[in-house]
Amino acid sequence: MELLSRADFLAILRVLEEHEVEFLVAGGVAAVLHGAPLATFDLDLVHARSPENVSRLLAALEALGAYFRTHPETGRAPDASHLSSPGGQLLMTRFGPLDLLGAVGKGHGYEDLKQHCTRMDIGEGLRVQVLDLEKLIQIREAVSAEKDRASLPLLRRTLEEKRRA
Amino acid sequence: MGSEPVNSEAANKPIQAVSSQTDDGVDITLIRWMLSLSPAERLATLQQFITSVETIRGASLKS
Repeated sequence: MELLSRADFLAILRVLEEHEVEFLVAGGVAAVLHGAPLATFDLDLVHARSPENVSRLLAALEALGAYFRTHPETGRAPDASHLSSPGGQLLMTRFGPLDLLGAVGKGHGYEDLKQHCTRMDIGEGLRVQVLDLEKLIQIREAVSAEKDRASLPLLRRTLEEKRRA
Repeated sequence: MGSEPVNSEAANKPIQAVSSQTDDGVDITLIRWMLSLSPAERLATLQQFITSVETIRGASLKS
């Protein structure tokens, strides 16, 4: 099983849209879409955990050739029970790393977060829901992970500049 | 470029050493540049960055 894949965020998002998966973009890519100049190598998505959406997501993951990147030697793909849980699934796809999150921060799931999203045109006719910068900052402020908190000064300055513009 | 008149006054003026960083170490000029782009252009910029890193990494692994 090849672990290293060429990252193509747009290609992953296109496959999910084609399968009509309900999701929102969070994490570093959301921050970049809002104008934060930071580098990230994985795509964090929060998905709806309804049975119908999990079915669509499973079909999309099959199309993406997704498997757990924590256990690349097994080539094992997530199943419905993984995707129905609030946990995070660290996956590798043929278009690069993908983190599927049932919930972020202190238990914020898709239904909770979708009201804090903006729909953005991200190119090639794709429009996706992106978590607002304010909410992204709030979530990172509430978690203790050092890597998440490290980006807070940059995110806060970006929000200030956006408000000033 | 070469045929354009040069503003000699501006050209001779010494460039002030200006810090683009805020007290918390954030480069504000990069934020302003990113905000001047559309979301699609921002994503494309990130994508190009990753591709460049992967290309450099691939080259360094081969050498």
